[in-house]
Amino acid sequence: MNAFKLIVEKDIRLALTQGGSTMWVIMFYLLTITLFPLAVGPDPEILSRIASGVIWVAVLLAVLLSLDRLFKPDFEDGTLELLALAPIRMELVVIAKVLAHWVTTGLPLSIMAPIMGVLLSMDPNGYPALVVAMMLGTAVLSLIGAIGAALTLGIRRGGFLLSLLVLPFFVPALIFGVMAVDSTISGTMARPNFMILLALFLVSTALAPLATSAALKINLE
Amino acid sequence: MTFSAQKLTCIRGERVIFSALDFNIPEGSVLLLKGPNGSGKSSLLRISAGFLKPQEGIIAWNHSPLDPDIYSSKISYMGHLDPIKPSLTVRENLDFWVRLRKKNNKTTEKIFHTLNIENLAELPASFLSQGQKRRLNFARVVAESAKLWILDEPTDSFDRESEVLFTEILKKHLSMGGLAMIATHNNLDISPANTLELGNS
Repeated sequence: MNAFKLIVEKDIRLALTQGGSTMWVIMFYLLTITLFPLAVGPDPEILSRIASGVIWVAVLLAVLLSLDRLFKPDFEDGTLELLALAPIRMELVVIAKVLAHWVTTGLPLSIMAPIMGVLLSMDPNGYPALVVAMMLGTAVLSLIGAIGAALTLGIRRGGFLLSLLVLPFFVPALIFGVMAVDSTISGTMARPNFMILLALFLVSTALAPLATSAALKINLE
Repeated sequence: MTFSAQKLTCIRGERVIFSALDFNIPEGSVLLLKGPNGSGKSSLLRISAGFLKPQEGIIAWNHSPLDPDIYSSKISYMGHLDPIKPSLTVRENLDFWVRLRKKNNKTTEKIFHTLNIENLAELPASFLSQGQKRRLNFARVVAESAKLWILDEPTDSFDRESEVLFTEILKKHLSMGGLAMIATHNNLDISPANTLELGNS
């Protein structure tokens, strides 16, 4: 467990320091959201109707942007091969790195979501649902994204391929994430949507580390 | 304690790199791998470290086929790449690897002293030269205090002084019953050393 903690701590530190990915992801998120009122027009009625969908898409793209950096720096400087030799299972290394990735991207994006809601004049009743759904949803995105990041590790300019590969698998999280928020705002049954998000999270927690570590091992050959 | 291999065959991209290769490293000795570029020195080291599966043949630790879980704690691997994060200091970089192997912080201090890089400890690693990075990576190998060292061109970009220091530390490792497997072009002043010539088959 000691090794697990060390990896999480180191990755969080690296993401937050200069040149780390967190700042860029948040900037991208903010800029994308601010484009919408400019493009769609300032009409609060239209904006509030599309708000939850727009925020979700922006988060999804921001996470996608950061995925390329999930394993690549460690792969390129040899850290990954030494982690493979360290006294810790590769699956746990993957979980540690995904956890650190979520803490430095998904979590801040989720916490900032209400601010984006204000920019898009979203109904404030939906804020708590938005944050909770987004925390679950971004965890799913990090987990599924890790598989894609590991598979495309050895490919030059793998970023494009990575996007094509994982975007279709992001769709369920997107659909139920938006529905969870919209149903809360409209006062209809929100519970099933949250349950499905939770189910997606649990399934990907169980399967993604196995698939990711298998893909990493192939790349280390 | 011996580390050995029988009838190893390595095929990469449908090309046979080497076949029917045997070696045996008894306690306290070193095996030097020599040979031209592309003769399979790195591949042999990667097979020995367990990254790569040989097409045929077995690798054995004490004459019994090795168990990957126990094995990884017995070896330290140093490849072509130096796993150093430029935004962390030299000390933080080394500390991470030392603590990952459950060695305590005193080890880091001692290693800094033995490798003569105390004055670099608080520097961000981005300021290190290629040779200093290499030295830091070697410091990691020493700090992990594993039984078997698998080193791929360790003295690459070392200056004369560091090379002497390297041989000294290696000799100490061997005298304490350690094993080493080193691919190198340089003539290291180590004896007794067994040499394995690759690429003349």
